[in-house]
Amino acid sequence: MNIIIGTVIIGAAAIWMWRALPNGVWRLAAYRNTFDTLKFTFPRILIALLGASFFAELLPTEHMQDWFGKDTGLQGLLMATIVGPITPGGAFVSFAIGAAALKAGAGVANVLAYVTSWTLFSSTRILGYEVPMMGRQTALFRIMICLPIPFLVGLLSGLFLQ
Amino acid sequence: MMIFPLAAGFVAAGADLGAIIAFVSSWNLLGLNRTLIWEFSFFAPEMVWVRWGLSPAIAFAAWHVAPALSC
Repeated sequence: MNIIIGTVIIGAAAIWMWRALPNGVWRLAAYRNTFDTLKFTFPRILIALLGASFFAELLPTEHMQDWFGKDTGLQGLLMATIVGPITPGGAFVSFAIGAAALKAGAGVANVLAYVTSWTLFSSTRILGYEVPMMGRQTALFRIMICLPIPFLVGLLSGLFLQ
Repeated sequence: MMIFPLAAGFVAAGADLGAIIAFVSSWNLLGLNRTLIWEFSFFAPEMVWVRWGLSPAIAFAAWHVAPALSC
């Protein structure tokens, strides 16, 4: 449902922008750009979604409750925080794994800590973009400042979610 | 990933380190397209709202803590 709402909003914005283009030359350039983006993105998204689904299926569900169950406490939060940065791929992979982990019996707090840890410390993003563009020192400093955040999000989420 | 060149530009223009840390961290925590497309699709809305409720406060705290630690 949310995907449908998002698609409608983005589609409406695209139509509004298309109408705002001044003439046919601009529209032709827009069509070309759209096609190039589609050509670049579609196969990658397709492979990524398949990969994420396979990865989620490969999760060791029999150990999920022992490692990340809701009764694992601080140890589960710590484990979830450690696993986040080493998750390969983009958002579709980490969120698919989080959803699969929830189904397999992981605690909500641990899954939130995992997702937050991935968003903050994704190793591919840090090594590929943050360190080269912002410098090693700034990136390391941000990482150090943000280290407690996934842990805190998981811990405090217990106040609002069961 | 536009955030990183943008943040690097802010740094070059003399932005405060704490503000940059908060800027990058809040984008990491609360990227809108990521939330709308993926997070809401995979998780229950209350999980997303709790994460969104907690994250800005923590990013704000990071903004305060960063300058103190960098001295």
